[in-house]
Amino acid sequence: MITERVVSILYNVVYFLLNGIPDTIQFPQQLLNSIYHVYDIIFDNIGFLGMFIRLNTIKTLFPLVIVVINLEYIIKLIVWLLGKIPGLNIK
Amino acid sequence: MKDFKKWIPFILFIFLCMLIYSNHGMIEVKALTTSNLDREHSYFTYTLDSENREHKYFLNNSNFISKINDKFYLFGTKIYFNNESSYTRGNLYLTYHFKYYYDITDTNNFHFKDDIYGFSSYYFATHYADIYEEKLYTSIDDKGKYSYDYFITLNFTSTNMCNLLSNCQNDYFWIYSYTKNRDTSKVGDFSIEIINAMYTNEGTSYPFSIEDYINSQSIDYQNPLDQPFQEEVDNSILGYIKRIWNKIVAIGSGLIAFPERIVNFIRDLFSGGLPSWISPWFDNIKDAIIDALEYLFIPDSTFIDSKYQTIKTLFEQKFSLLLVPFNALSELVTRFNNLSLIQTNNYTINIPEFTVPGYSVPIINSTSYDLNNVLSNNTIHTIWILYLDFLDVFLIISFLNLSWNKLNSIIGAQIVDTEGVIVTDTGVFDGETGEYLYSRKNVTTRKTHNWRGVKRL
Repeated sequence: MITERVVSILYNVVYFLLNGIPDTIQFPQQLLNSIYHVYDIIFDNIGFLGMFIRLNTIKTLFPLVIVVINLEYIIKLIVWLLGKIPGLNIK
Repeated sequence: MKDFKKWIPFILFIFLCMLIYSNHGMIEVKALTTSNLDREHSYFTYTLDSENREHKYFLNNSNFISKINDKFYLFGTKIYFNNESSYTRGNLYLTYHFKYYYDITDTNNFHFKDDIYGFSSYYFATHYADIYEEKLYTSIDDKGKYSYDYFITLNFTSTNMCNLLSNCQNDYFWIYSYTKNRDTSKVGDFSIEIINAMYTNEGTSYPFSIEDYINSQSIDYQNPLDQPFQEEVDNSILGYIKRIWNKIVAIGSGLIAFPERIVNFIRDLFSGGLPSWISPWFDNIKDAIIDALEYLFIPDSTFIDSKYQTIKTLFEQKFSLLLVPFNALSELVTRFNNLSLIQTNNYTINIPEFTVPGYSVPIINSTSYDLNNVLSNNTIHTIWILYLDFLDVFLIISFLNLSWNKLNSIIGAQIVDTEGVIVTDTGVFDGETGEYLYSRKNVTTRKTHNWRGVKRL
């Protein structure tokens, strides 16, 4: 009950603010379809890429590489979060 | 060329990885081949018409390649009794032996003969198998015939036989069951049927249990008995002493467990072991508190979802253009995530039809090229596999190298030993002789534990 009331108040505020903003230009759907068409070409032929490199390796390593490259920021984020916990005294 | 020496360990390492990977692949292929072989079923019945009865059946296959931990047997022995009361279980002695032999002179063919024992070229060995699992079920068939169904799973892995088998590639072996009726007056009263004997070498773990086997047979068995077969009572003095000792051990175990029971009683008292009239009362209060908290603080599951969807629709309506990059990226990640991990071997280039938006005439017609024909050549296929292996190893090592460097740059440190020589030349002009006198001094400097790469966050 209490949570619902609070969320409803926030919802009404956000809705009121958003509703006051004029609509931006609509992105042409045809152009969006063209982007997805390019995706189709890439992912329909990705089996062919498997002839030159194992897709399993790529699929496994790709997220890991992203994590490793951004490891510094991830550690900073973790330390920042831990710093918010009183009593741990992590700076 | 000078730097090539640095690459030698790296190249050797990659070569080693490829070798290990290649051998691993060979082992897998071998295991795959054998797992499809050597599955035999036997079905026969015999009547115990004399005091002792032996039977053997063979598991033979010329393609059999033994492998440690692959041996697995499942026995189902059905024992029929014409009259239940005519049999006491203690009278029946049932055991299984394993024998195997292989032909030293002719390893390619299997010739079974009754007088095979007379052949000196055959090597025999007998081993008892360990019982992995045994269960006894009782059942009564349509004719009212009472029977015991004795299932036994025998484990080869802990016997020497497994090791012996792994040393001889062309061997034949059989399971040898031995049944003895200790009560000679009951000869002919029951018959024994080996309903199924199965051998499999699928993997190192047991692929199914007795229960799974029974369920697969769709037979309605009764509850298993506690003891498959009663042990014979030893009436000798030694047996008597042994029974007394067992009793003493049991009483001792009970005494030791008594304090533990008290502790358990107290623990249970506080964790649900309260008297029956208190427990529901506490449960009701607990439920009421939880319901009240849930009503106050936890919203309905549809409430948040409906609000979110409304805001999302409004947001898309207002900021359609700004959301396009995010939607495109989301679509890309979704498609990448849905990539099948299974290698499809579909090496075909599919070029779709390409048309300019607004015009129906295609600029490029749809075509496809199949490159599987290239890989049908065995040599090219082998080279291709090696190439993929090499690339995998290279990528993994590169990734490890990247991780190591990244970790060092963030929290790690590197110990670098440096060594240098300071050369000091001094020259003095000698006025008497009119010559310059030179002297050179070499000072070797060595700096150890030069920490670098330390970076504070």
